[in-house]
Amino acid sequence: MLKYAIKRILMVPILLLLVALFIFILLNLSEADPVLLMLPQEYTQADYDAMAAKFGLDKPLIVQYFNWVVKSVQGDMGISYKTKGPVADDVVFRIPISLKLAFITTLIMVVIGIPLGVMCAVKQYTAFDSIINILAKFMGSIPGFWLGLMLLIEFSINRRWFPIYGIGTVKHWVLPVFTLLLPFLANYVRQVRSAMLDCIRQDYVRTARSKGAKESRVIFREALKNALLPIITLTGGIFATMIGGAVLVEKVFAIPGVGFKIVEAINTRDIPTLLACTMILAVFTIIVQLVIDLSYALVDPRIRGTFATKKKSRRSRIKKVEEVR
Amino acid sequence: MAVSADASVVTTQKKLKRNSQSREVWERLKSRPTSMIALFGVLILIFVAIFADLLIPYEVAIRQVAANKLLPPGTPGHLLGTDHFGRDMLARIIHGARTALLIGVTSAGASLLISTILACLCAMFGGWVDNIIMRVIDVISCIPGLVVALAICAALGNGIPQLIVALTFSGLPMHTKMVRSVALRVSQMDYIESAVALGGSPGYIMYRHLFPNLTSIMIINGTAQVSINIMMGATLGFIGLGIKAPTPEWGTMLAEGLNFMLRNQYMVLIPGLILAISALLINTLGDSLRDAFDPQLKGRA
Repeated sequence: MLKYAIKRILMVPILLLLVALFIFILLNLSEADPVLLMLPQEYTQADYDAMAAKFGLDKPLIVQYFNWVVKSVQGDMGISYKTKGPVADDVVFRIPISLKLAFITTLIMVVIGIPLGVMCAVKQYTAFDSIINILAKFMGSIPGFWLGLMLLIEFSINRRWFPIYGIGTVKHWVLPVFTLLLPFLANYVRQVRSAMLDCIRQDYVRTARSKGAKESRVIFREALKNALLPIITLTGGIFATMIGGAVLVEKVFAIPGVGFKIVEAINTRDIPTLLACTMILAVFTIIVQLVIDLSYALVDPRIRGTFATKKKSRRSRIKKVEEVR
Repeated sequence: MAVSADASVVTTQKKLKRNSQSREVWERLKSRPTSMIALFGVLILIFVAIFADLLIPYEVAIRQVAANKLLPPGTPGHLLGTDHFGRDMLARIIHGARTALLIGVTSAGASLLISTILACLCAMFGGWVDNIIMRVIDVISCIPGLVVALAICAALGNGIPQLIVALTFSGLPMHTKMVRSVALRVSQMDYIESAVALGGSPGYIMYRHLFPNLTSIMIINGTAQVSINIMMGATLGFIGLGIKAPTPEWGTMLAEGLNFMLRNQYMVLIPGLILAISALLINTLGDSLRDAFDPQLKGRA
C-alpha cells in the first residue's frame, strides 16, 4: 500500500511537467507572433529585440519551457502580455472563487443526487424512476451556458430577483450554482442509480433480506454502504471537472474565477496567463484524482491486493501449500 | 469441390448471422416508441442539414437588410424574426444545422476512428506500446476537454477545419480509454488466440477480428460524441473562437444575441432551444441504440 502511494505521488510532478510541455507546445503552434501583438504600429528592429528579450521569447522553445518550469516552481509564473504585470498577481486570487463555486455545487449535488438516485434504484421501473430518468435526459441535453443566459434573462433582467453579475452576496451565487448544477446532477442521479442497482442485486443483500432485516436497514446499511465507493469516485471526478467546466458559467455570470480569465486570455492571446490558468486546472484535476485513487486503495481491500508485490505473494502461497502438506 | 462447398456454407452462415444481428438490433429499436421518435427527429435534422439550400437559399441567411432589424418571431416573411443585421433567423437556424452537423459528425467520427486504432494497438501489442499510448492519454486527460479545445482553437485560429481538429482532439482521451477497455476484453477471447496461433498478422487480426467486435461500442459512443461535439462547437462559437463571421452557426448566433438581450430576447432563446432539442434527440437515439445493442444493459446509465 505504502509503495503504491509513494509511486502514485511521485508520478504527480512528472505528470505536471508533461502537461505543461503539452500546453506549451500547443499554445506555440499559433502563427501569430506575440511580440508583434505587443508592439505599437511603428517599431524598429531594436524595439522588437528588446521586447522579445524582456519576455524571453528570443530563445528557442525548449529553453523557454525550461525557464518557465524553473520560474514557476519558485512561484513566478511569468509576465502577462496584456497587463505587463506578473501573472501570479492576476490569477492566484481567482483560485478560491472557482473552488468555492465548484465546492458549493458539488455539495448540493450530493445532497440532492444521492437520495434521488437511491430512490430510483429502489423503485426501479416505476413511474417515479421513469420520470426522473426522462428529466435527467432533458437536463443533460441543455447547453449549460444557454441555460445560464435564460435564467439571467428571466430572473435577473425581467424579474430583478437576482443581481446580473458579481460575487458579493449569497444572492449572487444562486443562479451560477444552479446553472452549473443542473447538467451534472442529471448525470449524477443516473450514475448513483446504476451503482445502487449493482449492489442491490448482490448476494449479501438477499441474505440480509432473508434474515428478516428491515428494508431501510437493507437499503442503507448493506446496499448503499457498498455502493458508496463508486459514488465517491464519481463525485470526486465531477468536482474536478466542475473546476474546469465552470469556464462558461463564469463567463456568463461574470464571476472572476480562473475560467473567466481563461476566456479573457484566449481572446487577448495572452499566453503566459492562459498557461498559468490551464496549469491550475490541471493541478486540481491531478490532485483530486490522486486523492480518489489513494482513498480507494485504502478502503477497498481488493484494490490493495492487486498492488501487493507479486513475487512475495507467490512465495508465501507456495510456503502455505508446503505447510499444508 | 468439397473445399468450395465448405466455403460457401461458411459465407452463407456469416451472412445469416450478420443479417440477424443487425435485424435483431433494428427489431429492438422498433419496439420502443421513444427510440423511433428520436430516430425520426434525427433523420429530419440530417435532412434539413443536407438539403438546407433547397429549403432556403444560403443567400437569405447572410443577406443584411437594414430596414428589417430585430423583427420579432411571427413577422410575415420572417417566421422566426430577424437579427440585428436584418438577417432571417429561420434561414440562419437551418443553415446553422448544416454547420453544426458537419462539425459534430466529422469530429466525432475522426476522434472515434483514431481512438479505436490506438485502442486496438494497445490491446494487440500490449507492453510498451500500450504504456506509451496510455501515458500520453493520461497527460491529455489531466486538462479538461473544453480547455484543450479552447487552447487548440486559440492556437490554430478561427474556421471550420480548425474547429474540427480541436473537437477531435478533445474527445480523444475518453474514447481511447473506453474502447481500450473493451478491446482488451475482446483480445483475451479464444478466437483471437487461435487467430494468432494460426499465424495471422497483427494487422489482419485487428481488421478481421478485433474491429468488428468494437462496432457496437463505436456506434454508441459515436452517437453520444456527436451531440457533445455539437454542444462544444456551439460553446466555442459562443466564446468567439468558432467560425468566421457570416457563416451561420448556433453558438455565434447566441453570442450575437447577447448584445441585444435587453431589446430582443428571441435572438438568444431560439438558437439555444434548437441546440437543446437537437442534443436531446441525438442523446435519446444514443441511449436507444445502447439498449438495442446490449439488452442486458437496458435501463442502466
